[in-house]
Amino acid sequence: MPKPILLLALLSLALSGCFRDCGWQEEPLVHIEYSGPKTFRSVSALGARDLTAFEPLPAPKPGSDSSYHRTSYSFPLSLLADSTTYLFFSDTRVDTLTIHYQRYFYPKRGCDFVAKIRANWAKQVHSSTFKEVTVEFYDYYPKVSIKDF
Amino acid sequence: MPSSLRTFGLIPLLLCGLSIHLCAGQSTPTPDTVAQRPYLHQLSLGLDVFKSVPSVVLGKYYFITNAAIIEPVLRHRTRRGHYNQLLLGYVRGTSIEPSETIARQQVQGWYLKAGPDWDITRRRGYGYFGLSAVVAGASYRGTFRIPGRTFGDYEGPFRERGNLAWGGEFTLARNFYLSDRWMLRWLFRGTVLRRTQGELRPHYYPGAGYTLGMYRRLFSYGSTLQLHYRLR
Repeated sequence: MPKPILLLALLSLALSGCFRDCGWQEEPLVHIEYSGPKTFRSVSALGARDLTAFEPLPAPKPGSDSSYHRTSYSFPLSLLADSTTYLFFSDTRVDTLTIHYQRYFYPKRGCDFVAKIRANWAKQVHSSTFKEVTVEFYDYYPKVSIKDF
Repeated sequence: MPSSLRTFGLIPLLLCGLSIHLCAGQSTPTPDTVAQRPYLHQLSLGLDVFKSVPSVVLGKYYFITNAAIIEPVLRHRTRRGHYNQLLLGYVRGTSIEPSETIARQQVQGWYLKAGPDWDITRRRGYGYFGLSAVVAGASYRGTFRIPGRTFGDYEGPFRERGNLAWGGEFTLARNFYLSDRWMLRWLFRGTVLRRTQGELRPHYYPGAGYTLGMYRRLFSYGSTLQLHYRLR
């Protein structure tokens, strides 16, 4: 019967809109895109009490030539500090990536309290041992591009 | 199931009981009833004697703890079978039933309810139906918590003041005349309020009651007891 399916589809659309309107009611995520030759065995973060979010690591995708590959990660940001430092473990070394941001907590209609992450322009936005790092802050999450060659 | 819902599940039963009691009430006046003449309570001052009780007796098993709910009420007879009543309320307590990000919510507020009360037992003074206009104000304090599975939860304080609401209430009451001066009223009420402002959802709204999950339109119902003293 088409009618219940239509209702379900409309409900799903409505509910997805509602979640997006509330924003973050848990640790916000940062999207990291890595392009480079390294393969990481594991990733963790300073101050992390639970490493479930860092396992399993996504599989790298081949780049346009064999000298590098691309991997996309989504890791949580700490709500208890204005920066989060990630540790990338490869076979030969450990690389670090620190992202600085500002945290906002405010009441939102129908949502109780929500968290928001914004850029902290007063401080250096990031520091890292990778060769080239770009950080962009979108409405709901920051995006980091790492070019490691 | 929240303890408040378990408690309020009894309300429809009480309402049925109250309605049956009113409908099947004393149809034949006895000499004692005529001597009592309840409808001659010209002016009475009452106080709610039940609303604070569940919080004290049930403690953490009730949705609001450390609650002080004070409701003095004045009833004035304008003509046979018709009263005007004025109720002032003050409430202070802590709601301990959590919503999404708020664990505890301390509420403090006041309310004013005024309106007519009609005798619905053929002017024998045993059952009344009332309608009141309601105005209420509240302020809230507490802590919110945003969960953080990886790095830890964030907790912070919040405060909301100047929260006003207006609306109406209907009551259905049964009067029990304990003596010439004292009367006990068993009330069932339904309240609808509209908040004029506020970003947070109140767990408990003064003048209404349990309102978890509601935002601007608040609806609550309940049953309570008032003890009245006849002044005139």
